[in-house]
Amino acid sequence: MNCKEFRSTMGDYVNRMLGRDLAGSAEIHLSVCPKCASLVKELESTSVMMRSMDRATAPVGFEERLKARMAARQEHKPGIMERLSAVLRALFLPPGHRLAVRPAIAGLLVCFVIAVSIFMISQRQPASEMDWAYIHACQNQHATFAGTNPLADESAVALRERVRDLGSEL
Amino acid sequence: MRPIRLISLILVLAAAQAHAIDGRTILANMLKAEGSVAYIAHEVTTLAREPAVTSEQTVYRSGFKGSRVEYTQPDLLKGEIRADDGKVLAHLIPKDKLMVKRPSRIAGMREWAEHSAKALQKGEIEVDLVGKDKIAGRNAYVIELHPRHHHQGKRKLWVDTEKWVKLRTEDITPEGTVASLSYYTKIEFVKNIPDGKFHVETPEGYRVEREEGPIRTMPLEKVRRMAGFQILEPSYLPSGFKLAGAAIIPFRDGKIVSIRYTDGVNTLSLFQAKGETLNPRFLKRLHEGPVQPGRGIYSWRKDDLNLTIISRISMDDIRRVAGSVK
Repeated sequence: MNCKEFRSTMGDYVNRMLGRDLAGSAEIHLSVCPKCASLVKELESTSVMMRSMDRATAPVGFEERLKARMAARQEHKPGIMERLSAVLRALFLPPGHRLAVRPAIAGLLVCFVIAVSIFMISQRQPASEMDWAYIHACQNQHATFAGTNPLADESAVALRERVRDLGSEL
Repeated sequence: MRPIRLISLILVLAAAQAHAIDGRTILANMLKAEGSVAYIAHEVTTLAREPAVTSEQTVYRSGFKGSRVEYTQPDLLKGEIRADDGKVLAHLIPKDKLMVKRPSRIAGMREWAEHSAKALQKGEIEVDLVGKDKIAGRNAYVIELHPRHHHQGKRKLWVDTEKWVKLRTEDITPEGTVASLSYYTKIEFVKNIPDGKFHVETPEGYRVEREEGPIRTMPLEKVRRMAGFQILEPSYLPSGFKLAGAAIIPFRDGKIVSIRYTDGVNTLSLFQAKGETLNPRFLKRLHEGPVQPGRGIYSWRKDDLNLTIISRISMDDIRRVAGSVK
């Protein structure tokens, strides 16, 4: 376990809520990392101090509201992402590595979107080329017809043709 | 009558006489000059679009004998030459080391000039003299042309009062905005321009592309016989528009039929091609509607034909024409 992994589970460690294996890894890490050890000390002393403080009285109705919220939370059905995340976690990841799942899913999604876009662009390309070959043939003929009109602006017709050929380059 | 009053009266009458020339006469003179006057000019052209594009070019023109345009601006066009010797319209593009050869447009210009002169005689084009101006140091009449029915946009021309050459042209949209303008900043009239000026040799190392296509329009009946498929025609045309002719354009393994209409000032082309001429993927994607906004191109399918209209008239009118094609 490294510092980052330990700190993500530090709260559970202090509250003695980690599984045996993870708790063992945490102990090993603390024995070699004075920084994390001092952080744990700080957190434990804060926790002791909190417990020693006088109990505050909750506002009227607080308990009911809290219970209602908790009940609602229990009824909450997990979304697709949560379910997918849970499945992946169960399949591939050891407990405590939750944070790695979301970037992985996001990465997969980005790859999927890029792959679909590349596929769609590659499908559209030939049609688009064909489209403009036909339209250009018609435009050339119309320019020939319109541009030779002595009452027309022949130079503007010629420039319009070049703008069409060069596109945004001009 | 006192002598001073008499002189004033004579001067006023003389001035009135000088202004007696009307727009129709100016335009008729201009059409005649198109085929004969030779000059070298520096020209500026601007397309009023987003973003606006401006080019500068040196123009050599010798009536219906030949023309040559050498682009000097913008950088991307610098060095390009378009030269028409009456046989070939050569377009040299140094940037791409490319020479594009197309059929000459001069025969078409002659046909058009005759067509416009007839339309003017028949009163199909209305011309108003709207003033006088000075362009490239030369006096010019300013005339406005529009088809008999005004709603399709108009054209404003500045015509040299002495040589009858068009010095400036403004294309005005049906909405009244300027779509494009070209004007000479310098012009020198010459007796003759050597034929060699209108011919461009392909430089070594340049690729040559040939674009085929008939320039001369044919009678529609002839095209109908040559097409090999049933040609459709519109039952509605905007007021003043008449059939100008038709043409067949070879395209891949098939052909595109082009029917051309004009009201004397504006043009409209209707293109039609059998579906099998084109890529099946393209056919699926060809939807009914304008092809890119503001381009005056409208495409649709009818039975096994692909149809396209190109014109600078209003899109509403293009749609109406398209809806009437049977």
